[in-house]
Amino acid sequence: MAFSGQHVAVPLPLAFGFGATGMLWFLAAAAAPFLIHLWNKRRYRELDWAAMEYLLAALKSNSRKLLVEQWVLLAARTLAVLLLALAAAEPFFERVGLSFAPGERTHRMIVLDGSYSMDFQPADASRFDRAKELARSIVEASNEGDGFTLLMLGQPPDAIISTPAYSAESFLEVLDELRHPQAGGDLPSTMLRVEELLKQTRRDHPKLAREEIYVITDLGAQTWSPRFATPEVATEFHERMVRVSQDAAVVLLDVGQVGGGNLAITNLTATAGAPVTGAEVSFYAQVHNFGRQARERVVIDFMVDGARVDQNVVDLPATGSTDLPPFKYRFGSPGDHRVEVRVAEDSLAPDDARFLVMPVRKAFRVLCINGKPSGVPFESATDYLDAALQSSSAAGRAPIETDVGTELDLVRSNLEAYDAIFLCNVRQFRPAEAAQLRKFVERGGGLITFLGDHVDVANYNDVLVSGDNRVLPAELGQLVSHDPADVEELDPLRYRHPVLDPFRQNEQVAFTRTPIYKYFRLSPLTDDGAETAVAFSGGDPLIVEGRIARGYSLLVATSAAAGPRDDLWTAMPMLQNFVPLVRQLLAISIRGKIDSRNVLVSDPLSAAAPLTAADSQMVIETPTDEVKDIRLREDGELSLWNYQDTRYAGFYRAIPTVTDAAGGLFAVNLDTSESDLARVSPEELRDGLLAGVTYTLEEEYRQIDDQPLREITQRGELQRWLLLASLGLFLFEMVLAWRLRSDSQ
Amino acid sequence: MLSRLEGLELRARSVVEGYVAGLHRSPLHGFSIEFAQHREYAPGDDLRHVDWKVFGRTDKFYLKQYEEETNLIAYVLVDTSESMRYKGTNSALSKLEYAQTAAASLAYLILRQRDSVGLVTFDKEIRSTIRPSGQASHLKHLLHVLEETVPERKTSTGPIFHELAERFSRRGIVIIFSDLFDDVSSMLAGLKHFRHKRHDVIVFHTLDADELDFPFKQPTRFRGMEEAPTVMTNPRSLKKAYLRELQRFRIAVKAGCHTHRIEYVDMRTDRPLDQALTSYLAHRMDRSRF
Repeated sequence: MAFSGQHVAVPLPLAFGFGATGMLWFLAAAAAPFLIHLWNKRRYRELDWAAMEYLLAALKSNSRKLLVEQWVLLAARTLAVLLLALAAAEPFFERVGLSFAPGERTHRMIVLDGSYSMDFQPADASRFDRAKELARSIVEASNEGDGFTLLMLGQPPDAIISTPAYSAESFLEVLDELRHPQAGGDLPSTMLRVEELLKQTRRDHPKLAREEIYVITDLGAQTWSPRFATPEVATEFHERMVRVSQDAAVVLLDVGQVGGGNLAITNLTATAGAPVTGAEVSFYAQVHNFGRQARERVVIDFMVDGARVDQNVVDLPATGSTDLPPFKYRFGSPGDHRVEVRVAEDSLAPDDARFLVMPVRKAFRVLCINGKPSGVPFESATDYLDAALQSSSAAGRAPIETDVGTELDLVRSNLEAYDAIFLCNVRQFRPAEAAQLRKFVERGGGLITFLGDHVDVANYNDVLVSGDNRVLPAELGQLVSHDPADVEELDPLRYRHPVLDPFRQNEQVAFTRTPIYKYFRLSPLTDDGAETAVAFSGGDPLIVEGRIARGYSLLVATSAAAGPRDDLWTAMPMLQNFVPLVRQLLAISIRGKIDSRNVLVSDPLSAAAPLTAADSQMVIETPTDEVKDIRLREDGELSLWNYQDTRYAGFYRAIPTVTDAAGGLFAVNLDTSESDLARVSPEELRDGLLAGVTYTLEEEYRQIDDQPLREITQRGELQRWLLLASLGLFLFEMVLAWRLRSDSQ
Repeated sequence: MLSRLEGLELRARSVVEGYVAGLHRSPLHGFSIEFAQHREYAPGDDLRHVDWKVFGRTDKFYLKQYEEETNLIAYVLVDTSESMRYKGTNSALSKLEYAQTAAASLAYLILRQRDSVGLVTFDKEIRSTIRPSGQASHLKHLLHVLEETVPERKTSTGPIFHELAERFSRRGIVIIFSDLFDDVSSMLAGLKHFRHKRHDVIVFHTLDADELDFPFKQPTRFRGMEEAPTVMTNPRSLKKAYLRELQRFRIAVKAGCHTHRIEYVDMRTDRPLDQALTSYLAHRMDRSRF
């Protein structure tokens, strides 16, 4: 079944369009010959004439001939100007049922849909295999001299053969080797690349006079219903499609007719606890049934380091997500561990598993910056905090090694050795210290800031809140004081932030009644993504979180110490809730280190290492068992490595060749939006995304010459013909005018 | 008026003087003694007039009788219709002025050789007539009438020529200056009438260079003279057809003249008149020599 797009601006059968409609104003120039004719008629001389009898006789015998000649001359001039103006407007027309002239060399661009829904394999071959077959047919049916380019509709698009290949064999070799990536399909970016390649080929290979674009796709709704950021972006995409379809014959080859249900693991997360050896970690997974039928007794496997450690059998309702029961696990050894959740394999395999890397540590290292040291126990700013962190260790939870220092240590110490930094009631910061903090957070470190009576608000706002070294997620305002008898309750904001996970469904701990007498009024930098985790009942934020590059920064509006007896800030450090709160603050602040190990397909993998590792090699093992080498490069005081080619989901291992370099495991997961195998219908496509675009939708490849419904636009060709016709008319006009003139000699 | 008269006279003199200076024999004597009839010899007759050829055939004496030998009489006819007023862009004189000068020149020449010359001006009617005379003072009269002429009416040559042919009682040379823009057959019939009356006829077909060449290029509104309509046209595109029509007319006139043994002379008004007349008179003298 073939569908043809229709040009909206100009209905068939006229089927005319113009590339430069502004030039159509020059059609008015066609009136010039008429006006000149009329002007000449007005510019006459008068003469008394004696031999009138003979003039009248001449007029009588020639009047018809003169009239015809004049009109022919006028028509030739007018038509020549008209054709010239039309040619300048870059016209194109859609020829129905016509074929190109034989012998013309063709640039055939093959665009393979690389979204992972193309991995759907209802029988022996996947949609992608079928797409490759069609691509092969196109190439094999081509003539000698035709050029082929190959593009992957992916996220991002990938120009596999960007310079036309004139050898079918070479092209097919590349095609055969081609593996299907598991990203989504970014249609707008791909079409941008298509247009760039067309322009480049026109410039560098002018002999390829014809252009045909074959987009081989399953018409997945996710790819073919792109969400545009702004209406302008949508308009730009549409105009590009129209432009491309005006210059080239666009054929969509549909390989997604056979569909079916699909199950996908759409999420896998660990509890926000810091993973250390021996500590229990809970994992949460979600499975989505994209089919219209409910599924019963579906087996879900939990795997750690390749071995199944748990299994669930669940019933899944139709078209919806199901949260699986949490799966708990204690890691016995430090290092990177592979966690995997799998559902029984179906026709679309890539989304049947989800991966998570857990970098398990023996202990965490924390630096506490004490802004108000004191010889009296529990009067310095970090005493309660230190006690809370040590208490965590004592309770058999994550062991935490704490160093206490001053703000000078921010510059002196190697911050990369710490997982998190607590700032407690520090008076002020210098820009150099702020820069160090910023760098620390950007690389995934956690920053937790408590305020207090020492804090210089202006300095904080100048150095830590604004400027290039911003590390705090909120601006500090005035100090708010409450009478101990009249403290505000806390608003947990529906416990939606993970910082309150220990208190969720645990009302007896009465976290909301934590007494806080003094705090700074915070204004979260929401434009930068700052989020209030906990607030006072009056609306002022208590804890604000912001993300800076890979790391997290949390700002607490009050003090980590109770404060002097005559100037009490809060009783919170003295309460039991303080221990889980501090522990949770630490855990969520360092989740950036875990986040950087768990990315989506097409996101880069990267890590920092000491400067000594610069220029050393890093070996990357991919889930497809490929091995690739990359080199670390110097970046300030550190060396960095970056690996971009994460086209496949699964575990990637970075193996350093020097001991200093930071390697490790990385998990790459699918953006599961492509797991929904819903398709756009030809009608939706024609009336929606591709309205006004000229294209043909086919299921099988047929040579364009054989396609009776083919609509072809050839802007340049028509323009050439119009220019030639205009030139011919000008020559005809000159010859006719010359003849008339010589007749009158 | 006197100065204008003198102007015409001067023009005529200057045209003729150059020619006459070297002239020994009049190119316009035209008539020699012509045979009239035979009569029987009577005693006392001059034997020199006996026709011996007749005597040889009949053995009788007959004498040849001749017409009375006279001086040359020239009738100068000048067309003064409105169309003769036309003066082209490259011509110094209008057709009428040119014809007037030519007529005056010939009159001057004829009077110099002691012959008689008369004048008729006409359009659709005869406007003025001066009987032939050989008096030297006659020239002033002729010139005065020529100068007085105002061209403003239509031509009707045929009836005029018929009327004049009847009027001219004595044989002579009829010299016509006209553009002949009239019905050709009617005009030729009139000329034929002159011949019938045994006049020698010379037609000076007076046309302007513009009429002969039609050199116009830009669109022109032609206002017809002699009650002809007005026509707006592009002369460039019409030139060929117009010249064809005019040539057809001239050929018709020329052929008609040839048939009736009328001398036809083309006269372009952009050609210097002295050259035109000199070459014509020289040509006529050469012809009469043989």
